[in-house]
Amino acid sequence: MNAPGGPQREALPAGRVDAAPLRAALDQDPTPPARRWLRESQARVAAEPAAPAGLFPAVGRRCGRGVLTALPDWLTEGAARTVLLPALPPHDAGLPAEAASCHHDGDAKERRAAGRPVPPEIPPLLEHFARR
Amino acid sequence: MRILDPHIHMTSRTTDDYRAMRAAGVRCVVEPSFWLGQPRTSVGSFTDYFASLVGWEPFRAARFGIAHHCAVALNPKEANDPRCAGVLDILPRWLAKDSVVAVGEIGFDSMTGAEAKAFTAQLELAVAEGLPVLVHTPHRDKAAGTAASLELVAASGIDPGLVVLDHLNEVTVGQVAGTGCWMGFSVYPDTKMDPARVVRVLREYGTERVLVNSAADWGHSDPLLTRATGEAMLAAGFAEDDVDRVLWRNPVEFYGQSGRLRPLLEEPDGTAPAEHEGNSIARGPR
Ligand SMILES: [Zn+2]
Repeated sequence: MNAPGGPQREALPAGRVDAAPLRAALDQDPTPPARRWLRESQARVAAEPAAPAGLFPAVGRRCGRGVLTALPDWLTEGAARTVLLPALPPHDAGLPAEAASCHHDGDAKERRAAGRPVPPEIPPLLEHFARR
Repeated sequence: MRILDPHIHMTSRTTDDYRAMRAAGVRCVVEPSFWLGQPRTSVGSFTDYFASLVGWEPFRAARFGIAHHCAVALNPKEANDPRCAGVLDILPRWLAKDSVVAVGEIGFDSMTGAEAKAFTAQLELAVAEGLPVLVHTPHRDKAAGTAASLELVAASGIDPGLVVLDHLNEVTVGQVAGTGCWMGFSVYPDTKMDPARVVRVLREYGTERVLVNSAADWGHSDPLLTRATGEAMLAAGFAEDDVDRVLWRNPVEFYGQSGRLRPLLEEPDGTAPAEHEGNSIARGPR
């Protein structure tokens, strides 16, 4: 076996994007059940800080893995994870434990999917989580 | 002969095993989480174990042409260790992963209150996530353990068609046969159920809702005993179609209830990725 190289990092595009086009694109593309799931998940994340842990790994399966038609730079699952993030409650002592552990235990794909310019409403403390 | 081994602990096996299994007809495996022999002392050990079950091990299996899925759970034995109780809190994240097709193995080991509590909590998680459940029946006091397991399953309200009671034998199969749960048989070398004994049970109970597995792990076990059981069935007069049902279509149906099972690799043979997150099973310079 080769020496472990640690998690792979991708170069990230600079700057931030507005989440509104992401939401608009997600309103067109995924199937109605996928859109319903995403809406319910946003509500759950807002109400229940531990929810992302159980939701993040399921996003690809629930929302689709293809390229977003309206925003071909984005994969559907990456966009969906990204719009789930702003619903997380802010926390003044660092990353919310749930978000940090979600990032910590996410596989490369879950990290990569969120590795995009960050919508401005994501609290600065969550940026670390969103960008990797 | 095409085989899905519905219960095998590949983390404890070698690449020689993968090669021999593929040659014997194994195309897919489901690896439940279990006790590693050495007691774990923290939740973090489980996190890394689960990550390996959804990451490194599927990669390794694919190198040998085998699709790998897993079941995650706090196993019955370690449910008794207060240091591991926090595993129940982190399970939802792991149960949501794409390659996780069941909750398991859960059940009883020594029939303690802590085991019953973890068993019930994980049945609830299975219902919430819509996943099948793999229930380990204890090696000691198997009849009492099977009866107690069936009681907890019934009390949970889960559809019995989503539950397999595993490691059954000639005595306990009758307890499960009428319940709507699936009947799992682990075929071991030398002791417990061997291929001939499984064939006798199949003659009596038929092939419906039956799963046959090797349960191979770090102990005395043999990952090719699924194939040996198929051959024993043929020698005893079962048709090829019966063998295909028991060794392939039944486990595909059972774990397929998760909606996540992909029993065949998507890559054609020999084209599986050579690296997982930058690491490979090759030795020396690449
Ligand atoms: Zn096992």
